[in-house]
Amino acid sequence: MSGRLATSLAPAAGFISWSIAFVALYGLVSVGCLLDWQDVRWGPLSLLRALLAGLWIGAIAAAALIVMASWRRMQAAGSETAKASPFLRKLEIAANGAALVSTIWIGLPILMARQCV
Amino acid sequence: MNSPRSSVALHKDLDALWGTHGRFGWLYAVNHTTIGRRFILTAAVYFVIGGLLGMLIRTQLASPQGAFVGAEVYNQLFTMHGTIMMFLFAVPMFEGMAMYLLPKMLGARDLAFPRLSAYGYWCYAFGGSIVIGALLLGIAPDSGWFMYTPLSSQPYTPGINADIWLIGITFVEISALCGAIEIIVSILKLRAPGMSLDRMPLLAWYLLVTAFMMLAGFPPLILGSILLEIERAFDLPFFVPDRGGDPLLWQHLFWLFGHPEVYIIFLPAAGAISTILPVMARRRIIGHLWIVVSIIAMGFLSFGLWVHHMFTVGIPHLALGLFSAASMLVAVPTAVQIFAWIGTLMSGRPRMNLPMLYLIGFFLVFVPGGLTGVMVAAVPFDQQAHDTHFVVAHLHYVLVGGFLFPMLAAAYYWLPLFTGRSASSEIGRVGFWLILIGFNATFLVMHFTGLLGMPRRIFTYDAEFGWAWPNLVSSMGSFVMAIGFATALIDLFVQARFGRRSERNPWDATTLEWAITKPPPSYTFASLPTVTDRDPLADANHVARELAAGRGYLGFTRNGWLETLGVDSVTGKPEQIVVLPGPTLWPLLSALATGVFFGAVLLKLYLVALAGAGAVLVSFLFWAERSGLGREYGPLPVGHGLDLPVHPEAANPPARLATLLAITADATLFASLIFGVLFLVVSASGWPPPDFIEGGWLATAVGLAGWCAAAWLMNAARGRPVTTTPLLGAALANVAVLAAIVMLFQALPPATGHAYAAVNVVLLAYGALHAAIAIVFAVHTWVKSRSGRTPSALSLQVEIAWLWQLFSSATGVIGLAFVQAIPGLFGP
Repeated sequence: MSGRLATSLAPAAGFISWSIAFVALYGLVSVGCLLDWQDVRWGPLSLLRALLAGLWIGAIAAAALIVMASWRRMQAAGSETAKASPFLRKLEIAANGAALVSTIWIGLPILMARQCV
Repeated sequence: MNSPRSSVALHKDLDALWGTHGRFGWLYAVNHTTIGRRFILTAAVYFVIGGLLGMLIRTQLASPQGAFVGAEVYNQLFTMHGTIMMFLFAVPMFEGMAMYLLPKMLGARDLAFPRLSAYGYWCYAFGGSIVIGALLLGIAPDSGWFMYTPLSSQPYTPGINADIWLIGITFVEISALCGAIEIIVSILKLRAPGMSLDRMPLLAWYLLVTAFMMLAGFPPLILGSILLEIERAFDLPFFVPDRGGDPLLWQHLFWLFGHPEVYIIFLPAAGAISTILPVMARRRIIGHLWIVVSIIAMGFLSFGLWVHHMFTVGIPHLALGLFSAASMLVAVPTAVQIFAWIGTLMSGRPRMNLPMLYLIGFFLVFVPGGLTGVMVAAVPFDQQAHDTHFVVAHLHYVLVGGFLFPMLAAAYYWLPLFTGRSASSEIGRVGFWLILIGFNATFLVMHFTGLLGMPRRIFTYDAEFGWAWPNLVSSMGSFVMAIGFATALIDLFVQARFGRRSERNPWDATTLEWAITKPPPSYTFASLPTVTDRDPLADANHVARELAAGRGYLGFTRNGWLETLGVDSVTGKPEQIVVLPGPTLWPLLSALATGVFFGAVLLKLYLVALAGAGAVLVSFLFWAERSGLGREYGPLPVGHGLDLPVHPEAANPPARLATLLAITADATLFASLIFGVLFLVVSASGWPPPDFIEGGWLATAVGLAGWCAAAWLMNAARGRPVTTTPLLGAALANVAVLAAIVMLFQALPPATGHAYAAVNVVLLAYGALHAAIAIVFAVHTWVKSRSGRTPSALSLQVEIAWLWQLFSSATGVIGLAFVQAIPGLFGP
C-alpha cells in the first residue's frame, strides 16, 4: 500500500513542495514586515530579504532534489512506478520538472520588489 | 449465479436489480444516470433563474438614473446572480456531468457510493431552495456574492438575508464535498479491468484533479461561513476590528475558496473540450502527457492566487509580488492546453458541426478572458481596474468562455447519449451565433465602461460620466445573448423530445460511453469491458455487441447483488467485486434531517437544530447497517476465469479511501482554522487581548492524555480478529477529553469580549465535536462486534473508526497546544 501510495503521489510531490514554499514565503513576508525586519541590515541585504532568499533557495533545492529522486526512481529497473507504466514515469519527471521551474519563477520578486507597505 | 439464455434475458435480470421501479420509485433512486440527470436539469433551472436576474441587472443599468428597481432590490439582484451562477449552477452542473458520464466512460456500472450521490443531490436541491425561496420572499442575500464583512455583519445587514446565504450555501457545499469524494473514489477504484492511469480518458484526469481541489477549496469557505454565522448569531467577534477581529480574515477564507473555484469550474469544462475536440478533429489529441501535467499544475498553482483579489487592501509589496507572479504563472499550463487543442485541430480534419462551433466560441471568448486575466494579475493595472466593470467583463469572459461555451458543446455532443436522439437542427446554429454576438456586445464593451471608471455594484449613475452609451450597448447585447440561450435551450429540449433516433456511436468517438445502449440502461453495461488501449472503441466496433451479450466481466446476476468491479488505482488490475446498494429512501431522509438542522439554525431554533443533527447521525448509522453482505463469501467468479473477493473482504475497499478523503477535507478546514488564529494573532489590531485563559493546565493535561489514550486504544482494537474491549476504553478516553474541554471553556474569558476567546471557543468546540463523533464510532463498532457483523466488515469498521480517532487526536492535541500557547506569544 505504501509503495502504491508513493507511486500515486509522486507526480504531485514537486507541486506539494511548491505549495509549502509559497505559503512559507507569504508567511515570512507577513511576519517579517510585522517585526520590521526590512529595516534590520544583514550585510548588503535587509534581514527580511536575506531570510526570504534563503527560504527560496532552500525551496529550489528541495524541488531539484525531488526531480533528481524522480529521475533515479525511473532509472531503477523493477521499481513500482516502472512496473506500473512508462506513462507514469514520464508524468512524474515532467510534473516535478514543471514544479521546479514554478518554484524558481515564484521567488523572482524577492530579487526586485519593495518589501513592505 | 444465473446464466441467462440471451442478452434480452440478461437485460431483464439486470434491470430488475438496478432499475428504480414503482410509483414513488423516483424518491428512492440512487443510480448515477438518474442522479446525474437530476443535477444537470436542476442546475439548468437555476441557470435560467440566474440569467433572468442578469437581464434585470442590465435593464436597470441600460440608462442613467435607471428607475427600474431601487438600490435594495438591485443589491439582491447582483448578489443572487453571482451566487446562483457560481454555487447553484456551475459546480452542480459539472458534478452532474461527472456523475452521469464517469461510470460510462470508465467502464463501471455505477459510482462508488450511489447513496452519497443521492444525498448530495437532495442537499443541493434543499439548500438551493432556501436561497431561491428567499428571493421570492424579497429577503434574498444582498451583500454581494462574496459577502464581505463588515457589510455582511450583523450591524450593517441586520435582517435574515446574509444568514440565508451562509446557511443555504453551506448546505449546498456539503453536496459538493460528497460529490468530490464520490468522484475521486470512483475514478481511482471503479474502472474497467485494464484501464491503467495512462489509458484513462482525459476527462477523468480533469475531474480527478478538480475533485481534489474541491476537497481543499471548499472547507475554508465552510469555516468562514460558520464563523460569520456564529458572529452574527452570538456576537463572537471574529471579524470585528475593535474587539481583536479582522474583516480581512473573511476575505482570506473566502478567496482561499474563491479563486480555486474558478479553476474548479474551468477544469471540467476543459475536460469536455479535451474529449470532444479530438473527436471533431478526427485525430488523437496532441500532447496527452503535457495536458495531464498542466492539469496537475493548475490544481496546485490555482491555490496560490487568492490574494490577487485583495491587491488593494494594503498588504506588503513583496507579498503582492509573490501573488502576482503566481497569477501570471498559472497562465502557462492554461496556454499549454490551448496550444494542444489548436495543434490537434490544425493537424486533424475538423468537422464544423454544432459542438465544434461552440468550441470555436470557447477559443474566441476564453482566450481574451485569459489575457485580461494576465492584465489584472499585474498589480499596478489591477489597482486601477479593481472593482470596476473591467473586472466584471474579465470574469464573464473567463467563466462564460471557459464554462458555458464548452458545456453547450458538451450538451450537443452527448445529447444522443442522454436521449438516444441526435441533434441536427439549424435552430441550434442560430442560438450559437446569437449567444456569441450578444455576449461580445455585452462584455467587450464593458471593458471600456470599466476603463472609463464605472464601479461595480452601483445601481445607477449620472449621464455626465459618459457611461450611458456603453451601458446601453451592453444591455442590448445581453438581451440578444439571452435570446440566444433561450434558443439553444429550446432547441436542446425539442431535439431531446423529437429528434431522430441516433445511431450507437454518431460521432465515431473512441471512449466507452458510446458502447452502451442509448438512452443508457439502469445497469449501464450488461457486462464490463477489458481495456487495452487509450481509445477502447477505436478499432473495436464489436465491443458494444460483445458487452451487450454478456461476454465481458460480470455478465450475469447472482444473490440479487448490484455488482461492479474494483481495480488497482494505478494499473487497473481487477482486485475486488464492489457490491453496491440498490434504491433506498435513506439518502432523502438523511437530507431532510440535514435540512431540519440547517433550517433550525437559520431560524435560531437551536434545540431543534440539535435534534436535526441527531437525526442525521442516526440516519447515517442506518446506512451503515445496510452496508454488510451478511456473511463471508471468499473469492467469487467474475468471468474470464477470474475469481475476486467482495469488497468488505478486499485489501483496499472503497470505503477506506473515502474515509481518508473525508478526513482530508476536515484537515483542510482545521488548517484554515489554524491559519485564521495565526492571522488574527499576527495581523489584527487590538491584540494582545485584555484577558487570557486562567490556568486550565490540569484540564489541558487530562485532554492531552485522553486524546493520546484514545488513539492508542483504538489502534489496539485493529487486526484480525478484531479486539473489541479497547473500543470501550477509547470511548471512555474521549469522554475524558469532553470533560476537559468543558473545564477549559469555563477557564476562558467571555467569548464575546475579544476574538482571542472567540477563536479558542471554536478550537475547543472543534475538538469536542470530533471527540463526540469518535465516541459514536467506538460504541457503534463495539455494539456491532456483539451482534453478528462478519469479521471482514467489522475489521473495516474498526479501521474507519481508527482513522477518525487518529485524526481527531492529532488535531485535538494541536488545538489544546494552541489554547495554552497563544498567551505565551505575548510574554508574561
